[in-house]
Amino acid sequence: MTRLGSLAAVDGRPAVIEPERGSVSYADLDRLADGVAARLCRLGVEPGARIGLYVRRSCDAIAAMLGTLRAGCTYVPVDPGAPVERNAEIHTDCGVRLTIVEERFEAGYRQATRRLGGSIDVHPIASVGLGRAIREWAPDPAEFAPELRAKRASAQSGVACILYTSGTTGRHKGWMMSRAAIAAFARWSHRLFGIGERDVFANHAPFHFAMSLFDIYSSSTCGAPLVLVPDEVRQFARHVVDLISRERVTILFATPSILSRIAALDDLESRDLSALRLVVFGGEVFPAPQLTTLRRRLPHPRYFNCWGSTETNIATYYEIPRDAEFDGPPPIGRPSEHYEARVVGVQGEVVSAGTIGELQLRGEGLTTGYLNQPALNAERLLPAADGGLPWYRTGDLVVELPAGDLRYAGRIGRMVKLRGYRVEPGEIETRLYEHPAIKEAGVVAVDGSRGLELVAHVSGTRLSVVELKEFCAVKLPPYMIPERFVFHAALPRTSRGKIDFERLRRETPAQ
Amino acid sequence: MTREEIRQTIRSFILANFLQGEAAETLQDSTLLISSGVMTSVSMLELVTFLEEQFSFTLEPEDIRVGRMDTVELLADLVTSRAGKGSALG
Repeated sequence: MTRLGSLAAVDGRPAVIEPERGSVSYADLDRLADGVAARLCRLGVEPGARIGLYVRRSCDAIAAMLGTLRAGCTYVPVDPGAPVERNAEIHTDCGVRLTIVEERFEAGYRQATRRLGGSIDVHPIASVGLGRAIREWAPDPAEFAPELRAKRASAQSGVACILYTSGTTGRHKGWMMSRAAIAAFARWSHRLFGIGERDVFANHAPFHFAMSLFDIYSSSTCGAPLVLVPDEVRQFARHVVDLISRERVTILFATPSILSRIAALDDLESRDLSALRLVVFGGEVFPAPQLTTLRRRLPHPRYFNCWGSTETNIATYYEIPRDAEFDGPPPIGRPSEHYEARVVGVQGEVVSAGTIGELQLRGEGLTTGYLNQPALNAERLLPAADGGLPWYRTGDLVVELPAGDLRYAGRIGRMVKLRGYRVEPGEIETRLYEHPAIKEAGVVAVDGSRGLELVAHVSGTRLSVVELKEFCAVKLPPYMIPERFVFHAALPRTSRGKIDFERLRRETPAQ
Repeated sequence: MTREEIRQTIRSFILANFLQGEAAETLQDSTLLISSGVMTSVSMLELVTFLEEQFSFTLEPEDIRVGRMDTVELLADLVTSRAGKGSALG
């Protein structure tokens, strides 16, 4: 049994590749992680303490995660592209003891955490890249001696990291991802996908995102290199494809948004993507036409549709049969082997195949819960009648198909998934209501020319869209800023006096 | 294509696609686009794709930086330098 945070190899093979910059070997990554663990111990950080990571996607960020785990602590990654206020709120909310922050974010972060009354020990590091900033901050890996390593492991927290998502009430919520869940998931992914050290992973997902757990932990526990797609070009299909081709990437896990754009590239056939053997997607629904185009133009890889959330990580999978054709999105398949699934009707009864119900899951991956949210935990985690592990209510509707696979059938409530991000419209509305000129706000997601997009309906004093977007951007991450604003004298209401979101959706003007 | 024409094209595209119903004067040449939240990475992608087609050029990875694309002004400079090779620049 290997410990989470340890690596499959400690030799000269590349572990992390930062294109245009270079690579870091497994041996070096191991030393970097030990350095971080040593520094944390020397700073008197106890096992179980939470360590904030405010660092851009890089080898340094990975070393900080692994080092935190080795020290027996829990890391809390935030989105470096999100407003500093939000990140400070997250770290304050979960009682972070110490934060490793890139210098460029330091001043704003110190200010914001101070305003929130936090007492976080802030440790700035230089601009990240190839582990250099982390090496400078934590230069003494040898200090993390075997006795210390064993001592920290025996006292470690069972929680590997806390991942924050959008919350219904306008407050984000933190899910405690257990070490056991990540380890079970990595082992399962190795078996299912036949992953080995000759694979080359590409990381496209941000590190505060559960999708990146696959990239980071499945690669590092099998000895394969991980290629980090630079942030600047990650939305640009052409550059992503260049990278896959140049680095001979074999496994790509990405959202349907970027894969759809890859499918639309003019010269896709002329690119050498022969090494790519596995395309895994999830995080949102892949529209059938774009998926069909991608498979037709790039026929050789195996394609997997996966379902998962921040809480569960990938929990179901479906391999797209080579010759299958779909009118709608493909099924989400069956539960992975570390999960058990059931479909539950409105009365709480388990429904049979063919009937729509809520997907509920239990297993090794789901033994924790949300941090400091007893009411939410009671709502989402149901005690099992058989005395086994509790069932997690996913909030997603599914139906079991005749062949035994599950098909996604929508979402209970208002949450939407945009480019893999989970968005609670209520959180955006909460922000809009903070503007003195706004009387009412209703945010809906509609199909627009560029896919699903957020449209904010508001009433009150007419404002400039630029001003409203700027106002949102102070507290919300970029993906939560509405694409469009529609101004009303008053928002439509239902007979019960609530904002009529159905009507707003129907009446949202086309682009 | 002069720099002024490029600048106008960029402005009209942003106003028509991402700031519908907005008074044109709100969008200044110096209005921050990405770091202020006016545009997302995906809408920026759409803009860049449009500009590449319109002016037949391709941006290099090193061009794609917030610091080089965050205002109409910067975008106009960037596109002029990449697209206007050989033409009479304004």
